[in-house]
Amino acid sequence: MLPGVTFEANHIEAASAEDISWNKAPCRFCGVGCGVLVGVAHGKAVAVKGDPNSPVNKGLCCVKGYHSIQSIYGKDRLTKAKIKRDGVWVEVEMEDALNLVASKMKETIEEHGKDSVSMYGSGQWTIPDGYVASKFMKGGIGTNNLEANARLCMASAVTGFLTSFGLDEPMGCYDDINYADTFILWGNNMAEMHPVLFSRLLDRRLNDPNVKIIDLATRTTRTSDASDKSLLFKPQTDLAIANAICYELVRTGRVDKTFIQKHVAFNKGKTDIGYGLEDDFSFKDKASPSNWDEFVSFLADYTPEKVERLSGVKAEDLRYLAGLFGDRNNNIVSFWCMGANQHTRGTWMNNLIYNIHLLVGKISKPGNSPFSLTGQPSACGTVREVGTLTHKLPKGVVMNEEHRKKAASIWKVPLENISPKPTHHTMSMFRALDRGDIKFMWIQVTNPMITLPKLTRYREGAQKDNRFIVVSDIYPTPTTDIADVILPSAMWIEREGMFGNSERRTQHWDQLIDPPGDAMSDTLQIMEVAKKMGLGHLFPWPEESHIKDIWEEYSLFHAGPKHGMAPYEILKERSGVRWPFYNGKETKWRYNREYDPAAKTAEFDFYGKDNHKASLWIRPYEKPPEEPDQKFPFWLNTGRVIEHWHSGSMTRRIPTLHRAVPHAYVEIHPKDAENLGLQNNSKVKLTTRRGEIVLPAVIDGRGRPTRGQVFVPFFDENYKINELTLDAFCPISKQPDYKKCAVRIELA
Amino acid sequence: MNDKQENYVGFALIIALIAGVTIVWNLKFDKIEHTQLISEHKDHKVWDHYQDDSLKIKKTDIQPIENSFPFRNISSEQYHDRRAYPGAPPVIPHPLMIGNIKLDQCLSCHLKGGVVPSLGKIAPVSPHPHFISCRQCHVPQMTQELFVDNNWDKVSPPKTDLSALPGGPPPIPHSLQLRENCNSCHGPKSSLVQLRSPHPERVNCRQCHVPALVKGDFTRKISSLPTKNDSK
Repeated sequence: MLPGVTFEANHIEAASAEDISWNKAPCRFCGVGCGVLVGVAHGKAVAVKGDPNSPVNKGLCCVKGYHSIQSIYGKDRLTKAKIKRDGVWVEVEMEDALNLVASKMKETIEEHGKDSVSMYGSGQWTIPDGYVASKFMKGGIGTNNLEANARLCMASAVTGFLTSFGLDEPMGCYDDINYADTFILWGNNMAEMHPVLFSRLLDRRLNDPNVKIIDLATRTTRTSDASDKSLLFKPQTDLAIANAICYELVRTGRVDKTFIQKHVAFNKGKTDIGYGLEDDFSFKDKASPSNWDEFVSFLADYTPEKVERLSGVKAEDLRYLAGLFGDRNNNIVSFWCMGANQHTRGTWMNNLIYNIHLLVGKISKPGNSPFSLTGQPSACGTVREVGTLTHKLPKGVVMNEEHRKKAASIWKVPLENISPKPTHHTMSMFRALDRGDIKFMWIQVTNPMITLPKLTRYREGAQKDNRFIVVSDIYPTPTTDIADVILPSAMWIEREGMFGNSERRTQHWDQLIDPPGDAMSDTLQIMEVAKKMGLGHLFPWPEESHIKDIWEEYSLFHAGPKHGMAPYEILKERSGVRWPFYNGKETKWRYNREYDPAAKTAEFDFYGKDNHKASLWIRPYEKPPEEPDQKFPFWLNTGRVIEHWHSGSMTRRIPTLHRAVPHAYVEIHPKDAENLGLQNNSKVKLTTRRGEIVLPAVIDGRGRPTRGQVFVPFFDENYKINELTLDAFCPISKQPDYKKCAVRIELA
Repeated sequence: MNDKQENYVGFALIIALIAGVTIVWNLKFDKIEHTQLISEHKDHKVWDHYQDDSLKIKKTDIQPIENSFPFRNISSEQYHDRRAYPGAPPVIPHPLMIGNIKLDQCLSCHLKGGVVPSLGKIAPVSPHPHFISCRQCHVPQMTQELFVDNNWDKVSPPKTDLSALPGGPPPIPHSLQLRENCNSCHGPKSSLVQLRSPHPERVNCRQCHVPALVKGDFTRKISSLPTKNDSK
């Protein structure tokens, strides 16, 4: 045996497979939302199967899902609360730690006002976690200092939906895969990031050889390898590519004029909108009406030849893409995720994909769908639907008095409690923590000390004097390292909960095993602290039934045909239910009268907008904030690998996954490597204007960047690539761009 | 095995090797060939679990292959060590021959299975070749070290001697999900000798072997028809 091998599993004797009891749960990792069956024997999770009853994955998982339960049993699992005293961790009773959190929060509010305390959660919060966090912060304390890491991954998707349709989340669902002829993947490495859905695409193609998968990307990935056509473009030029497709559709007359006349309104917004790099940056878009003629003359700048020069994608390929969209007999689904969202023009990019689908009327119909994928298991369910963002309420936004009234009446709090002014989005919140405007932050289920861009500033800011950081987590991480109090959390199947996936599917699971030691669910942690702060009346539910009680109160916000949620009993029974759930039926295609009971005015009714029309936005190409130059001649792109989830705090404790990808690396083009004298595993120094890091090189790995570009996965706490990334964001969504900044590469 | 048969096997292997190399070569350089490999099993109804693939076995699939090449047998421990728990997707136990291999290139060996001379090993047949994104579930192990130790409790592999009667056919002690093709693990190309069936020529496995996945015996549930009560 090799040195360092210490992992030897104990064996549980199972007389036969029948000793294992199987229970449904949604997978803990990505936003696809696969149904899994977790096998439990002798009080421990011992095996995983794909849930054959779940229409999402129909019995198949990915390597993370199959090994997910091993993430529960890492040896350094946090089981006791800890308080930092004189630079030393002291283990304390949970009760004492929660008392300290409550008193510190109260004290800070008394001294510095309610906007000096904040909470930062995640798209891995369960729906009940997010709901009690919102009620506690917005209804109880009365501050809008509530954000979630989902701001870093899908805020542009939300603002894209809201500006184009007035309502968040996809109109279609995964059933679209069964009816589509062409899949366009916009900067989306689905084979690794949404693997089970990608297998459904491959399956669709196996059954019908006419089906095509087109990959639009800035580097060659496993997805590109599996696609029928892989088109590589220069970073940021996806904006121009989308406009070139529109240009070509208009030029060849392959637009659906009737659909446009009936269902589309033209809009334009501000241009030259900045990048949010300054602390006092603020931006508000202003929509003004536009029209077909103005749109057509705007497109004149985006001829395929011009866009070829900008993007590197051949004019004939751009025409080919337009041809696929323009062919009336070709059903088409666009998928995108971080490539379009983590983009300083992320909102625009989302709008532009909708523009193409609207021009040809390929939307809200089986097999015709612009489909925004989500990264985290409950970014949709918790952050977007419950609304754990500074401007949001469980229904609507804090700026709207009617929405505040509704929340106040369901929460039974005085209307004045809910502040009408949004405070900080995520980047602004961590900047405020650095400046000292925020003194207290409670972080749950996320690891910002790995995931924030321009990390060094925010790590140093969080550690300044007079800052108090509480972290609820299951393992020690770089974020618990900077905490003043660590609360051990019960994870996933150690408590009851619900997640909501990319296709509007809500999935419930029961508690299947006991949490270790003093670990407690995030929901209960928040409710306990609230009680200690005198806000117990907001959370009157007994522990035995609190998840059901929370669900029933939360459902009041969404009742009706536009967003109705399934009753608790149905969620318990089924492997997920899609909303709108109305009159006992799931709505598969929203805004389409044939399928959506809320659509009334016409065949297609975009009822999210007052004029019942979808908005087509005139959005130009604009340059990124930082581009390679003489000093920093390469593009730096960051992302994930299939084996690791986000910052790796769970997946690195799973033996099979850690051993598959034990550390981060930098992918580099063979020609660039040759010029720099690099070989596989050479130590390479990466330097940006924000920091430097030394990593091993990978040439011809699973991903192959174009020349002049490198890629680094962000999961590894020993190689914090986000110390190098830029904290520029989309001025509309405030979502940072992790995909583009300028870097210098040297042999270390 | 007589000389004639040996020659035949050797010839078939050389043909298979040439075909394999050709497929790999084409995969690397030609997209169209790539879809042809896929179309070879396109009629397969994907995600149609629990179907009995064993009936589709051809004569060549069950030819014994022992002794045609020297190769190493793995032990039962090695077999189970490759799985986090019984039924987990096994890790890839061999080096990957090219740095960036294509999504479904694994199938050039694992579609039909057999001896891989360069590795001195038997490539078992994939029980689900219609899933072509192989490394969605199967990953290589680049190190044996861990990031942090794990208190994982592994369930023992299911017992195999569960025949109800002496000499009776044992029931299937594991789930068939994604493992519908019995031949993959129990045919002559199984990577674990102990699992190989003594009678691979009888291809209708579930004629005799049935899954045993439910605890307890048959109990009659109360009929949904109401019983009339005259005394009322």
